[in-house]
Amino acid sequence: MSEKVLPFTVIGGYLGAGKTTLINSLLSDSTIGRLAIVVNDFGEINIDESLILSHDGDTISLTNGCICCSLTDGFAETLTQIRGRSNDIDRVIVEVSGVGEPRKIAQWGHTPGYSLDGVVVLVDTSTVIERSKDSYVGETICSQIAAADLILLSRCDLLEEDEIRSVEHWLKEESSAMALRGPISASMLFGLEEIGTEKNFSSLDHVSATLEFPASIDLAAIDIWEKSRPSGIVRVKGFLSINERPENSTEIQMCGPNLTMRASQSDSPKNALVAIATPGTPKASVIKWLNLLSLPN
Amino acid sequence: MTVEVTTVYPAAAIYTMDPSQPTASAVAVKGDRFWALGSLDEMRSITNCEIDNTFADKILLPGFVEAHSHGMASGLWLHTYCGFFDRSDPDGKKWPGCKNIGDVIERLRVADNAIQDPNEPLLAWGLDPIYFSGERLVGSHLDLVSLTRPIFVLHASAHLATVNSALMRSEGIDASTPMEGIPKDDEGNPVGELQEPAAMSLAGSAFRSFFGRMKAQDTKWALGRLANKAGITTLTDLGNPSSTSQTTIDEWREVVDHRDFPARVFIFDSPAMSQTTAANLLATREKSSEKLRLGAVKVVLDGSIQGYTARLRSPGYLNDRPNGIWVFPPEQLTELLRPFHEDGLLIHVHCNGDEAVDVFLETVETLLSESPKSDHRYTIQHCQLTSPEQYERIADLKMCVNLFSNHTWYWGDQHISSTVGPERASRMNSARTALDAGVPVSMHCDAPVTPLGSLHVAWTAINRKTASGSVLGADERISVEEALHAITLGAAYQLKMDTEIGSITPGKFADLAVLEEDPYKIDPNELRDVSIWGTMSGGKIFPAENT
Repeated sequence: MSEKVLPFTVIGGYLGAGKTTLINSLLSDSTIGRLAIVVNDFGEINIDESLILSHDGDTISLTNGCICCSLTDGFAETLTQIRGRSNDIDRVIVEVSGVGEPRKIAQWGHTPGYSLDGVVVLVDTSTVIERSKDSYVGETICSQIAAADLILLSRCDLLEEDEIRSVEHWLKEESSAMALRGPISASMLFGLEEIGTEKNFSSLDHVSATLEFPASIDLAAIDIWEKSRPSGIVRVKGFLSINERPENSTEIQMCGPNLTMRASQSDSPKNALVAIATPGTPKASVIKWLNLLSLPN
Repeated sequence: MTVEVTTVYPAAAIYTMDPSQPTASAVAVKGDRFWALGSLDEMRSITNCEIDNTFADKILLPGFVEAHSHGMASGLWLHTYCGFFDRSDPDGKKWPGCKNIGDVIERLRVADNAIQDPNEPLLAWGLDPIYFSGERLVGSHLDLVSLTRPIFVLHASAHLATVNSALMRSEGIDASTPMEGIPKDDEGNPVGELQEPAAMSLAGSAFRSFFGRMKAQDTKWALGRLANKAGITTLTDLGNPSSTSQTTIDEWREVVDHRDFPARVFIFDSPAMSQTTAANLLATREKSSEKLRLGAVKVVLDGSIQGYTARLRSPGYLNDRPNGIWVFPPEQLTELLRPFHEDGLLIHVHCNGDEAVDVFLETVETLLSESPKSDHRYTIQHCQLTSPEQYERIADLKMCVNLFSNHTWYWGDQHISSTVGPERASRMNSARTALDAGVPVSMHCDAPVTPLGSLHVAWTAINRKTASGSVLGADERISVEEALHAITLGAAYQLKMDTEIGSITPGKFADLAVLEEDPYKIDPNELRDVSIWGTMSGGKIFPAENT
């Protein structure tokens, strides 16, 4: 019997970067399943009272099936508790403290029963460059950015286009991760697109492309494909039937540069992937890249 | 009506720390308090007194006060000690230091043989490979101890552990384990080192059992025994995130308030972790007893110097190593402390590096300008790299410092060679500069980081010797008198308990450290070797019974 594995996403970023806003929006998003949100303290998330079903010590249960857990007993204990109710949970999201190290926290995502999905680091676009020079916290901010698989820019609405561009340019020096302008739909963070139903990102101009594969794929092809990832690809998600793994379909997740593959828990999913790329990426190049998988060796 | 008996204790010498009567030859105790002080003849005139000659050939000092220790200091002794330095357990048994990997293996073999159940994990602590000149303990070393019993050895830093093959096999730690912090050999197999808590937690049942067992009530009694053997009559659990929970309070009071428990314990909360409010902490303070104290604040701002995680000002660590980490966001310190400041609660903040000290000083300046307090006793805990200019500011703000003097002995050589270099290592824990600036000083051991022992702490501040025998920062040495003051009244002051303890003064609790030799008459270089006969706590005599 294969035990359920919970995808594990880390949300980091300095004070005021918008972590709380993002987490509150995730909690109210019905499309992303039942979340277990792990936070340092409940005070930070400010949950709407009307959503609270019960409050039992370190766990708050919400009416929509989500739970929030505080870290009073430490990570090991909290993750053991969440694993104990994994049948009622679809995904774990961990909020890192404002001075925390997201890459270190991400290692808990390799705990048995969990699978690290990625590290999302929020950046306050309006202040990040100035704060990165702060003698007390500048290094902390830069090391958080460097640890990201995906950077999410907040407060873009306060800035002119050229100001945002200069932040984006600066971020390229600090991190290899892709930077997206927020707010974005939660599905972008987790790559939860239903295969075949491309969402319309027109307002954000993100590019999304889906490809269904007619035949099973060789592991070697995945290796070549992964290494040829064009710049601009932010997320990939889907299922592949792989020749070397005939017993199960394989779930594919790519968040930034991180590729994870694991046995699928769904019944006979489609042999297809969806890829999401930053605004301005030609859709044809995304499809061409996905097509690398079906090329004969 | 019966008059309570006053017991008069003549002694070979009594050093009171009370400036109006610094020495005496007899002390009278009534109930749990000092009653009078002077010569034996003077004491004989007390109505209904009895002479007790238990201390006739002993030296009496105020009971030592350890203002920075942790409740877990005793619990680690449930597991096998593998540290480099000799150390005594709560029963007084001396464990010689493990000087190399061979010693560690031998120590663990003995422990392995002593465990009956073949499946029970062997748990050990205190390993510090920094002293093993580059050689690293790995899983294959531990396999020489047992190929079947899981073995888990926690390092002194508490940031990593070494485990054997049997443990990795049973917990499924192998070449495919994706987590960072699990070094692998050339063939891709894990070598048996688990770095940082996420990796350590993969040790599963051994990891849980290591920390779970330390919560037992017995460990509190063991803490009392450790204190007693060190002459300590008041110690701290500095930073307990559950200090306001009624269960925690009941568990501590059951032990500490017992007349057979030999010490007072002051538990500080960690509001950055516990989210405790000032109102809650004020209410908790009301639950204090004469022996168990509650209702004070501890915040950790940065990491440690030997772990390269303390926040340093320029020029930072040697070899351009990156600066350390903030454990708590510096910009939020004012906001965190404000309600506790407003309510007049006692606040101590951990600042190892000089940059962390700057943040705390700015915070206190802000809070005091918003809402002046005349007697706040804000204390900088550790305060290791503080500069003379910072000490001037500390004095201006009427703040206190509690120095981690033991560092000179335990890590002084490493600070010279690896962390900050000789110049700044010389100014670490600069008690002379602090005292000259007029700053109230105490000194601590941070047990279990270094062993619970006030005389060792004082000895280090007086002699500033490193483990290799060199003197580090000779100009920062202080006198025996100053050092003994720091571990008694100096520490009591920072706990705001100086009206009750810290000196042998009539009216204060009758808490004594009872010594076999006179610390003022021996070579100051031998202070740490002075034998401790035991203590008196609240008028009750507690001989240190060593096994």
